Amino acid sequence: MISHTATRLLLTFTVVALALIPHLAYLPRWAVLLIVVAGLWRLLAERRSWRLPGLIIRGSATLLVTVGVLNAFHTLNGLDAGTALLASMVGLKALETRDGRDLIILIYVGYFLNAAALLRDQSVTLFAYTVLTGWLLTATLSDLQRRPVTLGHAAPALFFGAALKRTAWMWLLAVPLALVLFLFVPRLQGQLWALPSDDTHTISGLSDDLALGDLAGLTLSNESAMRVWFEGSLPPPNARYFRVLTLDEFDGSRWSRAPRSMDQPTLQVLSPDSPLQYRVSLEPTQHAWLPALDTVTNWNHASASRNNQLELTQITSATQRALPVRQRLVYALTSTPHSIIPITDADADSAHLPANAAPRSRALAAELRANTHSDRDYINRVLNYFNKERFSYTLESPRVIGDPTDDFLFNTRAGFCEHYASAFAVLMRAAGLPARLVVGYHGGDYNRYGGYLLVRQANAHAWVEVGVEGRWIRVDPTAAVAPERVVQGAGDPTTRGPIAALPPSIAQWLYNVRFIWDAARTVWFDNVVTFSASNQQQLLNMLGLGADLWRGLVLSLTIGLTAITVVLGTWLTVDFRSHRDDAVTRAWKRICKRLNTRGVVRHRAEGPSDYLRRAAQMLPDDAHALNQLHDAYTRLRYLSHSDDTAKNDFLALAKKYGRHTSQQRSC
Amino acid sequence: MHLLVAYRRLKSRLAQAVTERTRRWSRRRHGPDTGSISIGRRRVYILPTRFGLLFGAMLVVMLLAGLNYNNNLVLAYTFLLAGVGWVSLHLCHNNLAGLVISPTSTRSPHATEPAWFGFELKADSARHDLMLSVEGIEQPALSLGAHEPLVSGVHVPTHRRGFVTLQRVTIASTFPLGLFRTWTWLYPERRCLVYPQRIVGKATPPASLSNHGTINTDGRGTDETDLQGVRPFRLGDAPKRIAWKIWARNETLVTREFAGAPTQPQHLDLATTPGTDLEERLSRLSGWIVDLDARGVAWSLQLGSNALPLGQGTTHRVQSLALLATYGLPDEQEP
Repeated sequence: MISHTATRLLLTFTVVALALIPHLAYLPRWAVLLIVVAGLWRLLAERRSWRLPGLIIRGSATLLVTVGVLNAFHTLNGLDAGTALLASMVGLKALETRDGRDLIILIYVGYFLNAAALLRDQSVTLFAYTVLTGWLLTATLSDLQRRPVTLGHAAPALFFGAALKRTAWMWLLAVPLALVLFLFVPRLQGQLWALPSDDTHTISGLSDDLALGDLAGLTLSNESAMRVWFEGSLPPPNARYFRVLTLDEFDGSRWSRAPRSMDQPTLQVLSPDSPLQYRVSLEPTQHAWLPALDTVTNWNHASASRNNQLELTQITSATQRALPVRQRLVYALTSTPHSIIPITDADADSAHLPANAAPRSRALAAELRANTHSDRDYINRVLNYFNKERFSYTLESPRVIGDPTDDFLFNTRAGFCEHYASAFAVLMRAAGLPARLVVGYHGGDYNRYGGYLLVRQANAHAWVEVGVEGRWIRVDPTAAVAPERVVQGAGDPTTRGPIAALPPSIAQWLYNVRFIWDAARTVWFDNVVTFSASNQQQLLNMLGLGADLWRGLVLSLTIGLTAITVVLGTWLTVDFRSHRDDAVTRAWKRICKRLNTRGVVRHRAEGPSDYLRRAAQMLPDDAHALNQLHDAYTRLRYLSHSDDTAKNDFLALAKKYGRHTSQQRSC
Repeated sequence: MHLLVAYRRLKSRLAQAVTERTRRWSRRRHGPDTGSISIGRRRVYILPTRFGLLFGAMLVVMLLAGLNYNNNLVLAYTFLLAGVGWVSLHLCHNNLAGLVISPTSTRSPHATEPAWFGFELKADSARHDLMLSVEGIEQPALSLGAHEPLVSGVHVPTHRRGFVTLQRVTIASTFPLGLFRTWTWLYPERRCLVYPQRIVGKATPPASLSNHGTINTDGRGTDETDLQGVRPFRLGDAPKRIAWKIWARNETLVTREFAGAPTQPQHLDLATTPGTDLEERLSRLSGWIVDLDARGVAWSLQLGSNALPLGQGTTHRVQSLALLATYGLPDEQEP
């Protein structure tokens, strides 16, 4: 026999454990162990009537836990340390739970854990999970209110079931109010206190510089990098080059950014009639770089996402903002594809090669350059060289021996985009042409459910810009070797990752499901996660409530709360069930009304049977019908085994009588 | 230390004063509650509990975190919880409002036993865990279904014979989440007669007092161990005379009869009842009457100028005890 207290303990522990699950991956292992052991011990203690630990044990345990958290995170502040502390306290609190009060505190901690989980991850899945556990926590809280001894209305055997049902209604009824608050509570522009940075979590993506082989790991990753919505039609595949970084310093094996002045080169827009307008939703990168199509000519401040911290500081070489992108960022840009980027004095070093770098490549460059009459001719020759010679495209590049460029061009002849781009740029510089590496993303899969281009980390790409006739032109040497790589991005997405092992039809289906899911998550992100002060402003304007957010809040809350209170009040006070008569009662009432209009008024104390009998006597014309009704009603109401046939008989007769009397009246 | 004690005393006194004033105010507001009382919205009070305040504080912390980190989902979660709290306020209030309380019977006790005031609760919708208390004494919680009247009652402690008045009943509820406490005060103005305390034990009136023959001093023990036999249970039999062991075996109630108990009518007179004072004598009479009634023996009663003729049965017992209860009390105590 499990006691009342034991049931409550078990229930509360289980539900709070559910709230702990999203944190498990971030907790130190000892904390998880502590929680599990403490919970089980407390349950056993209840069973065996053990004594609960005293003040000294609990005090020293608290101290130990604090030291443990400090040791693991070097702080008590911050999300990870904070949740670790909170979670460990759940374990300690579990140890000392004595009565309902302690259990209620545990439930409240559960609510907090839910909120903390949402600080870490804002996905729709986690939100659904926290709402689910929130509901279970509320149901448990409701169950804890139950008195140990209650007289009267017998509680159902599974009382928690009643609490579950009741609190489910409560959560549903809470939605309208929550919605009003969500829409109208003004969001802060900026922060009250600084977000503790969590730089410990590494995020895959492009980095500041590039050595050969860096991109290979990234190219295998199926993680999404960004989503792009285009106004109007999608640009053709060969125009989907999203520049992230321009690398113009080369030390023989590694490309990096030159420190450059911030002055913007003047753009000459060749075809100003075809600017591309698009919106990008960028996944966190930990860098300040923003992928953008060539060449950014304008940006939309209003749609630049929350905090308005999008400050584009440089246009041509890279688009950048002031702060690293720690959370998903949305920004809108206008790019003009065919604009001219002039070579400036700042690019003077772009033809420089270290003195001892790539001697054989230099010789090759000199050989190829000798027979050319123009820079463009030379570029084509080098591309031809890649095409004709037996170069192969592979993500598994062999190990580099000696000078990386020479090794690639004359020895291994196998590599992927960055090898070709780097070698190409070296050959350009060897011939005296300015050349630089561009790192970014190319391609992407169009998600027709969401109407956006999904660019994954696998779409990471490197290409070259060569200075010809005073301007930079884009050359993608990988296209010379693996044209399909350029057309299709990183290949058919159904052949990437674990789903490649499945039959094609299933893979395609799974791929579609994934696209729909991605589109749903994007809608969630765009409309819920990034809902901001500017969205609120638009909403208020739309509703004609003016621009003042606080005024909007007060107004909407007044209206909303009044409406909800009225609805709730009505719903709670009017017991709809008691007013909803069953079909038989309704039919009976109709008959009474009919008889009333015909002068046979039912006395207060008159039963249905007597009333019908009297009516039959007073209305001889209807006597037969009324007697039939009387018999049917008696059968239905007073025979113990009344079933559906009796009911249907009565209803049919009542209907017939109704028609009969109304015909009489119309005559 | 002294300061702390003084502070606590002041605090409790202050709280008491506030409560008293509120109660008096509510009393003036409601007036006496005679007959059936429907608890209207006007007299249902509601305030957050300590846990409700804690819940609110938790929501504020979550709100600040959500606003600070620009985390819409934390905000949404917070607002949902706030909505749940708001709904719980309404549910809590509605757990009490619309409840109909009608007085039913009272059960008179002997002094020092609790008096029982019965009433019937009913409502159009289900009610959960209503906590009743009288003068701070908690009664078992009550739950009732929609349109399912429940007859229950409250116990009120008694100290002396006479009338005990049901002063103020508090009906409270923290349903459904314990965030709010709703309550109402009832002033039913009901009285219940309290019989004199019973002196149990050698319950037989002394032989010398039975001036109508049948003297029971023939050596037959009056001790309750002298079991003579059992007879079927009659309403009014003392519980201690019921043969519980037989009931446990075959669930029939039988009353034990003892040898030595008088079976002839008894004439009880206050004037000849032994005792040091009036109360003790009344108590003794009270004990005898219960005992005689339990054994089905007839008795008459003489209390000064008041007299009851020979009789027996429940009505006679109640009349006799009522006479004892009110004997010598000031007139305003009369029903």
